[in-house]
Amino acid sequence: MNWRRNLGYGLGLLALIPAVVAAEVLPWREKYEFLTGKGGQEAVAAHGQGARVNGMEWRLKSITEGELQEEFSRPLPPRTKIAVVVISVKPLTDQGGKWFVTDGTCKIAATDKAGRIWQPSFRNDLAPKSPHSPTCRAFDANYNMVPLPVGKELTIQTEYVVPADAFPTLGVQIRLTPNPATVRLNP
Amino acid sequence: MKRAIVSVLTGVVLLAGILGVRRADPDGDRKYEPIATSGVMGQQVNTTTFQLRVDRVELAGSVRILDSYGLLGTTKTTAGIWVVVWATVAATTEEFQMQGARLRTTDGVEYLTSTVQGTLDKTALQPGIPAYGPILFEIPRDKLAGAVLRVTRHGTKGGLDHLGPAVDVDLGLSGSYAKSLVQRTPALLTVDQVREL
Amino acid sequence: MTTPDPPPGRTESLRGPIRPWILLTAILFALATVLALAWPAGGLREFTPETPHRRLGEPITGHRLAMKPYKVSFLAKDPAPSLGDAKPGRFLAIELEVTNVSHQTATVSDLALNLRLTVSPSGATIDRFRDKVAGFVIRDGRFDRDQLQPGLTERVMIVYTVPVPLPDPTHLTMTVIDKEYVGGFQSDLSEWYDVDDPLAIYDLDVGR
Repeated sequence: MNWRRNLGYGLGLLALIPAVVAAEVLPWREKYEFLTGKGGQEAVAAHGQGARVNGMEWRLKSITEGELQEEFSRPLPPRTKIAVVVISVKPLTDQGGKWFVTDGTCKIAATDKAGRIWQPSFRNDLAPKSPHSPTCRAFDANYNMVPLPVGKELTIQTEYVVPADAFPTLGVQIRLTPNPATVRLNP
Repeated sequence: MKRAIVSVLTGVVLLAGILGVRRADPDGDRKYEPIATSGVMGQQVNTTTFQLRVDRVELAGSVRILDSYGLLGTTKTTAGIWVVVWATVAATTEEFQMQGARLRTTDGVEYLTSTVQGTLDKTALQPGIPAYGPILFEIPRDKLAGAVLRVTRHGTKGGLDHLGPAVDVDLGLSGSYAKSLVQRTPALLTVDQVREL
Repeated sequence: MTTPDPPPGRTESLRGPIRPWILLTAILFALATVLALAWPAGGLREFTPETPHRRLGEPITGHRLAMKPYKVSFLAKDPAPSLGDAKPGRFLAIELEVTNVSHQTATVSDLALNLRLTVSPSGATIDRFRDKVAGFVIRDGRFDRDQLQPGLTERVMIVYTVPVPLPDPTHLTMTVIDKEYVGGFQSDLSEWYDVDDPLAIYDLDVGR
């Protein structure tokens, strides 16, 4: 009789709860992603295979151990190693190629099996001069940014000072904007 | 008549209840305060983001920084007293910098770190590579007793200091000890830079 | 569910004569609430604040900073060169004794942002963003110290350029805007907000 109607109302209210929670939380997701860089798509690849996202294919080329280039450089902290990381990116679509002249950013970091994240070092004496680009941008002879043609591979080298125990399981993480995406390249 | 009195009394009691609950509601700042882990001098405090141990506290009338090249910086005087907190800190999973380090005195005043370069609060720490170094504050001479070091990842601008864990370390500055420290303060202290361990 | 019928005689008295009482009580209650809220806040009189005027050497204390200007000069050379030798130009330098009376570290920039300057004889405004050249704590012969820690009194200098078309200033009117630490409209969290009514107006002579 009446209790069936009340139950109906009760269930209706119960169904409203996720709707209200969603209305409160969803507008914050964008701000959360912007502030923390988390969220968004994920693309994972292992063993040098390609990870595809946003019209680009990212690949881990190599992780090798580096050494201090100058005899009298500032010494490294104890129990650490230099990791020289080379990755490549290749646009698969025109859109992907055009990303290289936009304000979009790529934050490259080294990761280990335990989930720790290392930012590239500011030092420039960790590895010999290489033909690879230090950033995810291509430049012409006059140092202007140029879009990358579809299928053209750009190799990028970054260097890290990591604890020695992290070196064996090092992988790479790349955070992309503006369409938030995380690329994980595992060894 | 009795029903009228009962309703009025119920109304008054409910009103008092509403006022009481409203008053007990913490203000915006308290609501968003990070949940802090407490520690004492010499104790390693662990949070999800960083590990911290305060090793010692020194005072000085003026300071100068000895940089990694062995060069002395300019001598910096103060209208109060320099407080140099030596600490060891390590990042756990991601890069960490204690941008929100501050000294909180018993009267509730918060002193931000000095803008002097090369101190521990301005060092970006990578996971697994701890560092030892100084954190510098300037405070009035009579405010030292009971001071607590608070460490957070984010600074105080933009409300970001409410994100992430916080650590409060009691610097062990009891009234008499603080007074004796202030009396024995050296006029000049040369402060070493941050060292990675 | 059924409710018992009210006893026959009462329905009449539940309507009719009760209504005007309800209305009267409601009006009186509303008036009483307004007065009860207004009386501790100062009553219903219109409040027109008078901004106090001050002269050189006279102190004023706000919620965040307490200050006392002690010297104003018009100089032909930059008193705080950031690089190399002092460049020639038209500089207005204001020196003040400042104490941070709040519970948080402040800066000389915080102080400078809340000073509004007009010079005589032109009556023109000196722009606190564009025309400001330097602002620092006077200590150790350097010009880059910015922090004002709570409870510590420091001597501060703020330097502005006097734009070319203006004649050499002989008099400066400095309006000080106070700041208070309160929760804002958009967020529960407290921040430093400008107070509407100026804290003080300083009438200062410009020396050489």
